[in-house]
Amino acid sequence: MTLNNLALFKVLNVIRSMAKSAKYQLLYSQYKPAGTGIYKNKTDYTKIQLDFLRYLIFYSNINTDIYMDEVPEWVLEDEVYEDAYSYYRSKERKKIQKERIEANKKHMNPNKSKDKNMPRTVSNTHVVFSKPKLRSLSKTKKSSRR
Amino acid sequence: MNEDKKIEEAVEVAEVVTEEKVAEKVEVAEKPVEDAVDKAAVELSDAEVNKEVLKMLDESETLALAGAAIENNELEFEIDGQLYRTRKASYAEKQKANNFRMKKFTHLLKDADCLLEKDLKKLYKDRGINLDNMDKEIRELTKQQQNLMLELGKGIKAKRAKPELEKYKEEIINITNSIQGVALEKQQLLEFSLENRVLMELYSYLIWMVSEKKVGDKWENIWATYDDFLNTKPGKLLTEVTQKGAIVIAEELQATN
Repeated sequence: MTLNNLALFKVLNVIRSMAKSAKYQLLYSQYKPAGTGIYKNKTDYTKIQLDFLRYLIFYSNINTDIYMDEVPEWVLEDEVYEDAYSYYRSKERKKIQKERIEANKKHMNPNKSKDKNMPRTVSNTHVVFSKPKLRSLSKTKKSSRR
Repeated sequence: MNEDKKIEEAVEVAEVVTEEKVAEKVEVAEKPVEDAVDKAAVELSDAEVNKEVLKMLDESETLALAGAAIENNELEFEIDGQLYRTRKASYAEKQKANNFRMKKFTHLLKDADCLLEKDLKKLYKDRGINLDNMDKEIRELTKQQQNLMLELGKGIKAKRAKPELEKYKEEIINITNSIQGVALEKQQLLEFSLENRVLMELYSYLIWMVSEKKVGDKWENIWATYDDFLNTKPGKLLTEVTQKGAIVIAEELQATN
């Protein structure tokens, strides 16, 4: 490993513990509503700054969950615990989000329900506000000619 | 007879004297050795202390460097009263660096001694080293690691007792080490590929572009040309520039704005 890579490697290791510290978590909670005001530069972030921001969010989420008593405090004792919990948390959230989207889709298009035995319902509002499709118009024209 | 007895007595006395002298000499000889051992022990602990101090200084330096790297997208430093900085590359500079990368790639492609990753992989395969199998191994290990992380995360969320979850933690650590080992081996095997050489040149080029010195109120390039930068003798300035430049331009061409 070359000298410059070694310095980068060390810095990348350090920023995680810095983001976890009370000092930076407090700073993040203060600047959170106003965006990323924790940096001197307002745009054009470096990789280190973006990684640091990700870690700030990562620890802020864990701290919130500890405060909400959703997870024991000892999760912060080891980075493996932190990573595992956050990984599980994000997977669960994605699963819930996917289920919600599916449920919304079913609600919006009840006729597209996979269950063929389910009775097909058409809401009145759907008919009132829907525009006639071009293809159906051409079909009606052809049928009127006949 | 008397004379014989006298000789025997004299020999006995001589032996005793010699023994005493030898003992004395051994004592004299051993003392410096003991002293040396004691001294070495003291020196060893001093060395250990020095090592610790250096480690602490290194840690505090890393912390200071990390703090500065977080604070801003440029890193300033001073050598012999002259102010220097390395900063994040602009969009135009990134475009220029990309063009440089393409030119370098095409240039090296004409060089028969430069092998592409896929060619290197073929060569390694002939020698019994299968890099594709390494990728497969990494993928499989990562999958195992993710499954264990899910189990561990689930256990943490369910507030299971910590000792119950220790086994998952240990397994995750072992798998992570295995992944890192295989990835490092693969990286070392492909170190001299054409792609890697181009990447090294690209970062060198970017570091040259973003290294500046303060002249009056303005920032100017430290080296007028890339060749000037390449021909610079190793020294403090070059060390500082490459070290801080690497931090500022890390994954520059992949980083989002």
